[in-house]
This record gives sequence, structure tokens and C-alpha cells, in this order.
Amino acid sequence: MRLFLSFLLIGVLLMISQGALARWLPPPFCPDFGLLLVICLGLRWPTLSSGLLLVGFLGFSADLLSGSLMGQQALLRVFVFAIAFIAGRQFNIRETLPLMGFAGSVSFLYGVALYLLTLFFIGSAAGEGSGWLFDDFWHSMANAIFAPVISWLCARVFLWVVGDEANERALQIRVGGGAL
Amino acid sequence: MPGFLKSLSAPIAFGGLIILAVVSMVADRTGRLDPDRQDLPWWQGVLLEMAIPVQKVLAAPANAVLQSWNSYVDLVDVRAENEGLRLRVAELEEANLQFREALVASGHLERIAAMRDDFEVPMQPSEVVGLDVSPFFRSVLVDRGSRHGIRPGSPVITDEGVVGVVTRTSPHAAKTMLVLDRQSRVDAVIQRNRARGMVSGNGSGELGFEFVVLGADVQIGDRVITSGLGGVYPKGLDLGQVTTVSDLSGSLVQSASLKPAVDFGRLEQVFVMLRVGPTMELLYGGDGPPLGESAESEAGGDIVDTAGSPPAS
Repeated sequence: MRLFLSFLLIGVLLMISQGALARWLPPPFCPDFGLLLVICLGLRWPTLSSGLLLVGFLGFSADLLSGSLMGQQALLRVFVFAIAFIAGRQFNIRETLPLMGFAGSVSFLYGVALYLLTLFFIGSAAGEGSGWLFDDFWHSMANAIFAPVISWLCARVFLWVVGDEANERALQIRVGGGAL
Repeated sequence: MPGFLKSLSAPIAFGGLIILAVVSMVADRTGRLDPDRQDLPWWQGVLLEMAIPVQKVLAAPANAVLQSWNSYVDLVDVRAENEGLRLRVAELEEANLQFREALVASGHLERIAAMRDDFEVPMQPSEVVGLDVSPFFRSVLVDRGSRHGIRPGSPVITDEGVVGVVTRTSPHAAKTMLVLDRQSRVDAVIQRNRARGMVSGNGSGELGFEFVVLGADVQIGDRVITSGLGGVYPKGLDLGQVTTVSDLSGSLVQSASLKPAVDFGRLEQVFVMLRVGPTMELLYGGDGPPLGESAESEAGGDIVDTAGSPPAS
């Protein structure tokens, strides 16, 4: 429970800080700390169900602090968490470079999904070309750069709240019947 | 509680959250037709309330540095600019005098004064404390809310032009959707020839101006203003200037791009009009008392009466 509340508070504070930071950075280059936290939590969180609840809360908070429809980011962040949770058990993507690649790819797909969902609810965006795709690309790059920082923060919080053993979730390796 | 969390099976949690999110989205989209929609519930509003002081503290150092730099830059050419402005003021005063004389002579002054009464609305000065936490949406958080008479649907402007419209409020905060947002649409006319169209945000720094009939004369540099027909914004507020015109071959309409009148990169002080247009009354509800009547007058938050000083062109 301490872990749950700690990350809930950290997530909300990160998003609020991002709102202040966004005043000084052009939107595409401003990293999405809330999304990065969800990705990093997906790679480290011990159980899927409680992690989903936490991400649901964080997603709805993001919707409240943003201009999106209520539930829009919550929906996508639940998917992002589930993908990161599964991918984190199959591959070792906590190291800096794989993490940056994973966070960048997920961020880009998240942007595409968010755009399509917005179009679905509001109709076609008038006068818009492919500019949003470039914005999404640069935003993904910014997220990739900041992913190791948020991952480090996550690791420190895990270490602080529950100790070393929870921070080092074992990588599950399944050995097939024909091995050796 | 940890036992409860652990006992939740992942598929149920996943499915439940998906359903909740989809229902919330649909409800949020269609809920705008609910005439009872007012403030956010307290458990949602508390997040906006919490964001205001934190973002103010976080933005303060950077604000101070930027303000000092801007002051320095502004001072560099201030003498020459002052002389130019004095000359311009003198010219405008002269022109104004001539217009007044002409109006008095034709007996139209009383009618114009009556029209001005329709346009004058009290305004609430507010400070922008934070931007959207998602780069895919363009909204800002301002530090005045329902306690100050602001309601969803209140237009937000600056002395330069239209900023956006309030979408959600809590007692001391209001979220404003900028005209740059993809969800924003404003009915507009070209000031020069009254050609009508729809100004829409596309999520970037520019505005789109569409549905201009193909034969309409749209030129680069034309100013586009609110038509007042959308029911959200009063007529005559500046939206922007035409930068490019696209003649879509085979189409019955043409489109243009606008440079917004407001510099959204330097948005700090805004004015919330304490009046909701007829369309917004329909969308956001109109059961409450007339705006401005219930507004608290707090320190530094006095309502500005715009008598004699229309906010924009």
C-alpha cells in the first residue's frame, strides 16, 4: 500500500511539474513524465492487477490536468502499462539503451493512438496535414531521452519503500522441453 | 487493503478499467449537453486546486529570469518606440475626433452607445499558471475559478485577441481550451470583406480557416475576427492574420492558415469574460445566476468592468 500511495503521489506531482515545465519548452519537446512513469512502472511493478489500478488513477489524473476527454489517457495508459509489464517479463529492457528504444517506440504509438481517438470523438481535424506525425516523433525522442531518468527515480523509490528485493524482479526464463 | 488489491485478478481489473475509461469518455463528450453541468466534483477539483500553488512555485524562478530578460530587451528600443507611439496616438486622436464629429452630426451616437452596452461584459483578470500536461492537447490552467464567477463556457481573451474557452472549473482554478486545440472551432469572418468561415485549431502553433466559399476574396495579411454567430465569443474579437491561402482544386471551398493574434508562447495574463454565450448556455448549462453576480471579489482578483474599453479590435 505504501508503494501504491508513494507512486500515486509521485505521479501526480510529476504531472503537475510537467505543466509548469511546458511553459518553457515547445509542446513536442516537452517530455511526458506521466507516461514515462507508467512505462517504468510496467517494467518493475510486482503484480499486474494492483499496477493496473495505480495506472488507472494516474491516467484519470492526467485527463483532469489535460484537455483530453475524461478517460482518454487512462484507457491508453492502461494498455501501455500492460504492454510494458509483459515486455518487461520477456526481455531485459531496463538497461539504458533498450529502455530508451522501448520508451520512444511506445510513446510514438501512444501519440498515434491518442490522435486517432481524438479524431474518432471530434471528427476530422480541419486544416491539418502530417505535421502532428513530426510532432509525435520529436515528442517520442524527448521521452526516450528522459526515460532513464524516470527509471532511475522509480528504482530509488522502490528501494526506499520496499527494499532491494522488490526492485530486482526476477526475469522469467522458460526453458523448452528440448533444451539441453 | 493490500490483500484486497492482490485478490483482484488482472483480467477483471483490466476489463473494468477499459470499460470505465470508455464510459467516461462517452459521458464526458455527451455530458456537455447536460444542463446541470457546473463545477467539477470536489474529488476531481482537488487535483486542479493542488496544481495551482505547485505550478506557481515551480514557474516562479523561470518567470523571474524571463521577465528580467524581456524587460532588458524591451528597454533597448523604448525611446524610439515611444516617439513613434506618441506620433501614432496624436494621429489616432485626430482621426477619433473626426469620427465622433461625423457620428454626432449624423445622429448615430446614441444607437452606437446602446450597442456598446450589449458588448460590455465584466471580466476577471487571471494568471496562467500551467499548460497542458499532454503535448497533444492545448489547454491552460488559470488561477481563478467558480468562486470568481467563472463558469464552463466563459470566453477567455487578452488585449491581443481570443485565447480560448473555459471547459472545467473548480473553486479556484479553471481549465481553458485554447483556440489552438484540435477540438476548438470558432465561427469567424474576414474583417475586410466579411467572408465567413470556421477557424479551427490543429494542435500546432497555427490556426486553420476553412469553409471559405471558393469565390471569396481571401488575401494574405487579412485579419480574421469572430463573427459572433457561434454564440460563444462576442463579435469582433481578433483571431489572427491570414498567412497562406490554399486553393483546393476541385473543391467548393478554400482554406487558409492563420497566424494567431495572441502570442501563446508568452501567455501570462488573461481576461475571462464573465458572460456565457447562448451556445455555451446550451452546452454547459444555464441554470445558475447571471455570471458576475455571484463572483467573489478577492484581493488581486477584482472584476474589471470594460466600460469604454472594448477588449479587442
